[in-house]
Amino acid sequence: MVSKEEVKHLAWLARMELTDKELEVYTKQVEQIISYLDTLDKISLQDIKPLKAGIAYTKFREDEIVESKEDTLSVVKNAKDRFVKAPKMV
Amino acid sequence: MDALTLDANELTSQIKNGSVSAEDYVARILDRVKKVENTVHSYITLNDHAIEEARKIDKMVKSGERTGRLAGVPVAVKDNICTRGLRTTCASKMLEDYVPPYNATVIDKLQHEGAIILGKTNLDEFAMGSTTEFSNFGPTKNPWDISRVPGGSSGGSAASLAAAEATLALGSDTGGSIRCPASFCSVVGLKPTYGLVSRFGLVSFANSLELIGPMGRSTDDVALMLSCIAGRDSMDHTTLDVDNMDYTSKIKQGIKGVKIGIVKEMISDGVDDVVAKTVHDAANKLESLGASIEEISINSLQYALASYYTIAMAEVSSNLARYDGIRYGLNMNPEGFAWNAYYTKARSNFGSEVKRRIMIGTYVLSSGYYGKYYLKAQQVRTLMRQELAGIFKKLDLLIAPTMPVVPFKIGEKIDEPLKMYMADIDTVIANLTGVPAISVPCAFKDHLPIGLQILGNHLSEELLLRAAYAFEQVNDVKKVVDV
Repeated sequence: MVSKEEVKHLAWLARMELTDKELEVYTKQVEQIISYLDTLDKISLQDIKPLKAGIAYTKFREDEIVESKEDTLSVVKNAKDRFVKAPKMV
Repeated sequence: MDALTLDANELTSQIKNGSVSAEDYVARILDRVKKVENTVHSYITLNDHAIEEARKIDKMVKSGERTGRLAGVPVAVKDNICTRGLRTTCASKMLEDYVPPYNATVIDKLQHEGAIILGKTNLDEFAMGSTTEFSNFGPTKNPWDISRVPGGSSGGSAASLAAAEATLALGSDTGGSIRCPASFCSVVGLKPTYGLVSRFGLVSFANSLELIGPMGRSTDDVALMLSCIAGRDSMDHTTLDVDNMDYTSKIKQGIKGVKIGIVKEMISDGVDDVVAKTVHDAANKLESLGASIEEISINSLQYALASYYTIAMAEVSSNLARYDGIRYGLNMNPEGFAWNAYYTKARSNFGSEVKRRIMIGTYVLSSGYYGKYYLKAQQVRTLMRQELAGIFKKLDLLIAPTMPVVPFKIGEKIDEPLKMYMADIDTVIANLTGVPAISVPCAFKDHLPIGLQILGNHLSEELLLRAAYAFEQVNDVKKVVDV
């Protein structure tokens, strides 16, 4: 039901490289797991509102700027000045 | 061994009255860690400044300064909770040498109370797993039987308590990750009400399901720790309007008249016979303490696992998109790489379980499948909440086994992901609905621990802890083992 092509595509969407062996193993496992998730097909839930959060988040704080004391750039491995090095966009 | 396993309460009062030196105690615990770590492997990183920090506490005690409710208490912290200046890896190659520039709110709170962070404990990579076998740094062993799993994903935290390598521990629970290892290691672990404890600084896995929670060798200790870490946090908008809670003051009040339901579905199919009997025995004990017990059914439980894994994996695929290898973690120079080639290579450094979950999450969120899986899963969530709300109108607490089985052998389920997921069957309901749940040591099958799970309504931690405490007093089981 879930094909190798589909799994290859999923890996691509999530930007992860898979070896041929991995593709084979994962396809079997993903198929099994999705089959189990198909349990959800058994219920028809037309009238139930999907729950995204337990409470309604309606209180907003004022948009105040608070300067961060931490040096968040300290964790960047490949940085130059205040810039982060990234791969070339084709 | 007794000296190394003092309760947090006892330890901190002895430190405060000067009869025990915090520096000395921390040093002795670290000696213990050195002695057993090759066997247990609870820790990924130890805090080099722990002794120095404990020394400061002793100084403050001498000069009469305020030291806090957990002064000098050694705490083990799960390695997906950010600690400033102390490596936080999430047991992943992707964050192998990540040193956070900030503290999680819970860490700030613990340090404000004088606790000493001893080190960062092992977990399944990014908290995805039930056995701590999916760690990039190798598995943690169950101190009760080192050929078996300690549970997961907070396996390192639970094992550190059972092996006397810490006094208190922090874990995180997304689908049972505090309660499962607590059950498998014979310690106490609590998943609080969603929103009671700040998630700021907890590395995201499934942010609508997960929570940081306290672990310890006694209910008293867990109540104390919860009092220190609970409360509203402006850095986490999902925290509830709760402050200055003291979960210790009413803990000894007993459970006379408390109405308890034993969940039928959780003690029938697929549950080990001894585990089921243990829960029935526990129910009898609770009755002898004045509670009333009746059997109840939660109909929507049959969809719980499917709903949980759909939502968890969907959130994973989104939350882990941030690991691009560029801003933090992995050191892979982008020089010479084209855009997509870089990312696909960098992100191949995730472990197999993480990759699996990201792909399934991507699948259930793809157009065409959204209604079939994710939307349905969220509807099941509403259904569960409604069902539980109805149950809690008539009953105060629910009991069930924490795990349907006793700790199994390392490697036993690692090649069958679906079999592994089935182990979460009793724990996910609390995460889906946000209600609090605690696992307390209940019994042993031969030498293997069995935990009792108690669930309550939202913000019922006080009652939950009262029941757990009362049960503990009439059900003495071993909580620590000399490995």
